[in-house]
Amino acid sequence: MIRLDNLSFAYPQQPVLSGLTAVFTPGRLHVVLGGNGVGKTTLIGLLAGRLKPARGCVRLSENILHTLPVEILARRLALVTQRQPLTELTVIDYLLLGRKPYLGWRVGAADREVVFMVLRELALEPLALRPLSRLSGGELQKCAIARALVQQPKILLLDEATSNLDLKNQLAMMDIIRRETRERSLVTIITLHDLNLALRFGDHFFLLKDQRFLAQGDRSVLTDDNLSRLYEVNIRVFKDVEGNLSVVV
Amino acid sequence: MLAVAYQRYRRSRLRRLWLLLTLLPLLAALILFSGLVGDNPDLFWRQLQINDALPHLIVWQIRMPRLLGALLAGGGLGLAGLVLQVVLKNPLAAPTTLGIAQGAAFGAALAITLAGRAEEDLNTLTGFLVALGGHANLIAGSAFVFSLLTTLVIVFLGRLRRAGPETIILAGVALSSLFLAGTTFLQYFADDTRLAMIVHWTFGDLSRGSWPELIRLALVIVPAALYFFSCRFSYNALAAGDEVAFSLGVNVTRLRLISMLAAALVTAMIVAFFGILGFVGLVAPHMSRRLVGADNSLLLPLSMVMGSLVLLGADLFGSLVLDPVALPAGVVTAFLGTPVFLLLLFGGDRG
Repeated sequence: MIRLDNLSFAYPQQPVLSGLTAVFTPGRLHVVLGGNGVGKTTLIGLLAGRLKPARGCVRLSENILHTLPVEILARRLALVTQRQPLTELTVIDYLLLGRKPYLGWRVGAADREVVFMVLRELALEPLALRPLSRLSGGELQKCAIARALVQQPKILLLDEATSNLDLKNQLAMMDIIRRETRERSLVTIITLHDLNLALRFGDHFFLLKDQRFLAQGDRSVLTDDNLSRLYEVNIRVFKDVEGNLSVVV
Repeated sequence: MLAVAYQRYRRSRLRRLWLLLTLLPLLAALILFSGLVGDNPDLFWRQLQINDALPHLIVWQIRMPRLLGALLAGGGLGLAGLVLQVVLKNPLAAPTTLGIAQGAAFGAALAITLAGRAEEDLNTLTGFLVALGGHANLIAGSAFVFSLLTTLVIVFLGRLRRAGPETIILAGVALSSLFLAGTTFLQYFADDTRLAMIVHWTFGDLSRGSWPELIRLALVIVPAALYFFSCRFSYNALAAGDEVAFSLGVNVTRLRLISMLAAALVTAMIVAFFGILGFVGLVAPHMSRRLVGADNSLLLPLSMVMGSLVLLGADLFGSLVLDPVALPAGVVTAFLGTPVFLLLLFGGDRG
């Protein structure tokens, strides 16, 4: 379990987050919503331990997250970013990076076995020996998720991990993320721009605006009123014939 | 299936590494013994064991130090270039493109100028340093200090948010021309002897190495190589982006700083002993990358071997092409490096 305990953060002369409190629980998909520049990426940076809070803290179990050594953190937390830099590393070698927190002097058979298992699980086997620079955007993001899973974390952080993808790949990615969240009982925290994706896959929502959470909770917090205030445009939430929620601006 | 395919892939890459590694002793034997063996190999072998025989002197006092110098300097430059490219995420980074080598050459020139003056007067600081460590150490030390300064400037620029890869290389170009100007300045005021020494420094020459210097060089390069190799997974992680590397447990800032300082130290030692050997540090990593891909656990050793091969080849070529005049290796690498690098940049499909 991971908690925000009165968490505040500021860049020089510019407060970004103030007094956030929240609880994230295993097996659930937590979605952070908010406009551009509202501090979603900063929040992920704090959760990943890369940024130090100005006040308050992130608690991981009973520990204060930013005081834990990076090597320990790396075994608990995995991060997927919006873009993956193009490298000539092969998919397998890239996935093996996920074993970095566990490696001694060399990569062992057990480490490779974890990689092979995840490759199979995400149906990435045909790409295994291809350099990352030759993958499509969708394949690249899938590999990034795979690398995060190879890390065998308890907490999975995704910073707009689907924002660069087309519709089909977005759905495929979110399917994978939801499935792994349930199966591995991960605490998954994702920032999203696409409200419909959020409605479709999220379990728990955090509406970030003006340095604080405007609202947080299950689907019931995604009201016309809350969403309209969050994005400063008029938004209506509909229920379609199958009972799924969707939004119209 | 997958495991087997991966094994096969790894093995094929490893084979390329071993293949190049076996080229080294072949080339080395060629350089050591060429023109000496003659019609009677047995006689040659016997003479090689005798202390005062000519073949013994040629092999052990002239050719061997030169050969080891090429191996060490080439390997060191190959490593330094690769590490700089990896930590700066910049394919154009190398000791010469970042101005680290030019900084070292300026430092050496400065030490040559000052130490010469100070010999008459032991009361000055440089005079004291000369008395303390001897000429060679002063020159090497000064070369290191200036390559370090250059590195620190680049590290600092690299930490500025706006500095992209191009900016850092452009800053390197600016730093190199600054140091070249500084060296020219010193040359203008130097007397004939010192002028010759300084000019000698601006192009690398492998015949300068002697046994004690080689040992000192090895004492720097071997630990640096071990450190670099121990960081190979962290270097791979850097390729996934700084944020992700951090989330994989890599202390990115520290890794970058220590790696760059180590690369600067290696470069400085090489420049201090042999002078500027341009392009080896730039070309060797690229040639290696084409052979084995981007995985640093293969790339680091291969880049080292490749650097040695390139420098040995350049030295051999230099001693043959204008026979009986032996061109210094630094001149050859500067000449050959440019077309090779352009070929790497624009030549064909990536393999």
